[in-house]
Amino acid sequence: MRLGDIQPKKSEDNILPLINVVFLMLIFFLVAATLKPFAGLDVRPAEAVGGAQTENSPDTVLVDASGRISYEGAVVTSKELTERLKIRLQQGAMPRLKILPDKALPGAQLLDVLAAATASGARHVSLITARSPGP
Amino acid sequence: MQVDTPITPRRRMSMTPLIDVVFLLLIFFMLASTFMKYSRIDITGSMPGRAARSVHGALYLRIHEGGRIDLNGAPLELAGLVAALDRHADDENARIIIRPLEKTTVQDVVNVLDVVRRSRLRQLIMAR
Repeated sequence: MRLGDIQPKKSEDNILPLINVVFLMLIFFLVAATLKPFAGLDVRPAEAVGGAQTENSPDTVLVDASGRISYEGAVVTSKELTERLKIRLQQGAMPRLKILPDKALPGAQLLDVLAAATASGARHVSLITARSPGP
Repeated sequence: MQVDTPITPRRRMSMTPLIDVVFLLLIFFMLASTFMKYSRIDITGSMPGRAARSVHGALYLRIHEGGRIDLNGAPLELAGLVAALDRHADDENARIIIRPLEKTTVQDVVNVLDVVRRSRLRQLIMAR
């Protein structure tokens, strides 16, 4: 018995639903999520109920639990932080300095970072925290 | 003169490179994005190390280990802090000096700042 020529199915037809799903996932992540602040450090933010909602921005100062400081993607000392912030302030508008400390960072070390930041002349300083759903 | 232009059937464009790129973009955004909501606590005007103008009107809030607080030396619960601060809100010299002591964490400080923000006092100083 001779079978008729079977039309080979185009392989692209099979993956079209897959591509649709991948596209939808891509669009979902683009719209719904925000980019993580880039850091070489592992920082778990403290939780607060209140505060103005904010976007994370690349010029956030990150401080990990052991007090290491990361700014603009590089780990810096507190002196270097002051210098870099000074340069940023001289370049022009840095409307608000954001500091994202780890929740386990000792309070005294947070003040050291604050002192280094304000030594650069930054006037408006904010702490960034994770928004907790409430008590 | 008639010219016959042979109509060649258009080859279907290959989708493979497109799919590759879309996959790469998807993986990048999945790894680099977060769904965490951030909020901001302003500590504007706080200048650690700056000398205070006068002692008058200063409310000295200390944060102890474990998040316990005292206001001008009197132990206090966090829940009662707003009321205690608002009693001084009409004094224009009133300002709150927050000092985290040994073994306090940022979470303790943030808990206090979160409550202080709800009071009517606006002048805040972080002190060592």
